[in-house]
Amino acid sequence: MTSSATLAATVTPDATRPALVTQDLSRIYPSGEGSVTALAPFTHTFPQGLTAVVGPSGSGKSTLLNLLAGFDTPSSGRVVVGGTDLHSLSEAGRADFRLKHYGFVFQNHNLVTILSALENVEFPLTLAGMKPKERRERARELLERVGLGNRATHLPGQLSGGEAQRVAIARALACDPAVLLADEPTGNLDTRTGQKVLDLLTAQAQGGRTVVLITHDRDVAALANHTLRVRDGVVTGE
Amino acid sequence: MMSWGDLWALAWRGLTRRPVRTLLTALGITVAVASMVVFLSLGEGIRKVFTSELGGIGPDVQVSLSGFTQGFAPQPNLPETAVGDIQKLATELKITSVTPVVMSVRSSLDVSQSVVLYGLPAAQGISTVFPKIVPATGRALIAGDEGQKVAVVGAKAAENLRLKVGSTLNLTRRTSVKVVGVLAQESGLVDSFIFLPLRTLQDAEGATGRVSLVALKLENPRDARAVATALAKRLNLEASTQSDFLSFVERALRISDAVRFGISLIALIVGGLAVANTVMMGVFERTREFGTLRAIGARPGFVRALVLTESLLLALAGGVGGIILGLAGIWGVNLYTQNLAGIDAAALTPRLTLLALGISILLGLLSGLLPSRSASRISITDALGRV
Ligand SMILES: Nc1ncnc2c1ncn2[C@@H]1O[C@H](COP(=O)(O)OP(=O)(O)O)[C@@H](O)[C@H]1O
Ligand SMILES: [Mg+2]
Repeated sequence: MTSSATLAATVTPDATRPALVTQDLSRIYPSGEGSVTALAPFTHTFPQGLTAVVGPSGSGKSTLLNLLAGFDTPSSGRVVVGGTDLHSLSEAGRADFRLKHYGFVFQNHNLVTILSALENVEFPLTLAGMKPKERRERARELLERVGLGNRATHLPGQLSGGEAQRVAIARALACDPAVLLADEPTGNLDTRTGQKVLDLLTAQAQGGRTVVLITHDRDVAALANHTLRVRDGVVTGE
Repeated sequence: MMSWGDLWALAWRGLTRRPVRTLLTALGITVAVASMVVFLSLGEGIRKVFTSELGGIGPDVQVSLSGFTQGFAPQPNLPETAVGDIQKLATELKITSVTPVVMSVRSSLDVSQSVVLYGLPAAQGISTVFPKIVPATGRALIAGDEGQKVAVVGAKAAENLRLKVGSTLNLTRRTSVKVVGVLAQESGLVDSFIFLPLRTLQDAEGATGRVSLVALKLENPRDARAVATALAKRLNLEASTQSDFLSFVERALRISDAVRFGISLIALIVGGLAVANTVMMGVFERTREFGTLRAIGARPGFVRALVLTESLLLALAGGVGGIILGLAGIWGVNLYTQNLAGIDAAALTPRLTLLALGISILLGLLSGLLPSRSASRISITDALGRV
């Protein structure tokens, strides 16, 4: 894939960011009489920059991401971020860890429908205990950064799909996370609005964050610095 | 961690998402708490009437055959000879007045027509037992009235039975008396009393030579307990003090409080279930949202606290509404009992207000227990769905 190498932007590494590592990470779902190996043991160090995870539907991409996020418990192996074994933490400890080190962008924007765009971006900062004035200021700044400074008071229902997804990105960036996990963030968007979302994510990758982007769009994958291919639960590198 | 203010604000937003449903549920709590407040305010009002009425007036000690086992007005079954026996001990026990009393309650289906007939020696006068009372029109009882067919009526009794000075009052089929005085309003039970000379009432009741009780005034009212004990022992009679009477009233009220609270408890439980249902529906509807919050860094405890706060807020809003509605109810009850007996039967005391608030908080916490537990246990992957 020579084209992907030319399309991908260069990454300015940030040594202060913790590294995302998997060791023999696997997930087996019990099913009926037997079991489904959704993820075969996978050892990998995610470099800073954009890593695209591609593969057909049902191959195990989301399973991998759910394990990286600590949403799901692995059948074996570990996820280590900056030396911390994610699954050795308590449920509350893992939540705190996600708040501090992770940002998430889902296929649906998953914004809180009764909160305005600004309040949605503020929410993680509120959880982190930031003072109202400071967090409002920071949230405003983040909305500006995703080009939605003029939509602060809009409710998610009053935003277009692409705009809502950009608010979700602003929310994901609220606590300045080292790792951004995105599961098909453009899956519900048309090419043009999707492009804006991808531009934002690649910009974050260039700044030295570890961005893991799940997609089945080859053009999207072409933007990545690194690509992982998943097939029947088996992950292979570039 | 998130501040309490932020948590309450967020819970409030969660509730206002479905304003009609929230309002209806809060109204359910309002009605339940209001019914509890009105029910229990009756006991509180009656307590107030008794403690303020009998605090400074009425006999220091009253002697009867049966104590309070027959309630407030015992049958005239005590031989009048007891009066003499007590008088013999008067100097020794520092008793300043000994007044034989016959009491008879004329109850009627129409409560406003119910009165208490109170017979005492005309020569001693009403003021021996109720020193503050003065006639508004006509006169009080005088010595010459003894055995005569005359009566002095309390303000409320006069109003309800439409009596004035000169009116005739039928005590029994054979006995009727003439009203010679109407007493000034006292805002108490005494307003529903009709005072008669002792012999007159004894004759009418067919209780010649017997009395209901003997009322005593003491030189030092603080000795009441000791005097009562001494009398009870020496004369083999029941002797009770004002505080005995108050504790009798208190016991009776406690029992009726329990009954009335029991009735309102049903309403409260139904209200609590409504809150639980509303909050639970809110949790189901927002499974994805709660899953998202958990995903982006909210602890299970945060989600639990949020749902519990919603439940608490809902119950508390309903509770405050209930106290306000209860106040209106109390006002209505008192309007009625003022007309009836000249008393405020219902009262919203500080402790009743606190109880209502406490019950609302408890209701909110209990109702929120299950929904908050299930909200905190939402699986993130299930909530977000498989994409
Ligand atoms: N909760 C689950 N229970 C059982 N099987 C599951 C569950 N989640 C995913 N799987 C299975 O694991 C495999 C990988 O699924 P997934 O990771 O969602 O695929 P992708 O995201 O690549 O489309 C699929 O065969 C799927 O049916
Ligand atoms: Mg998937």
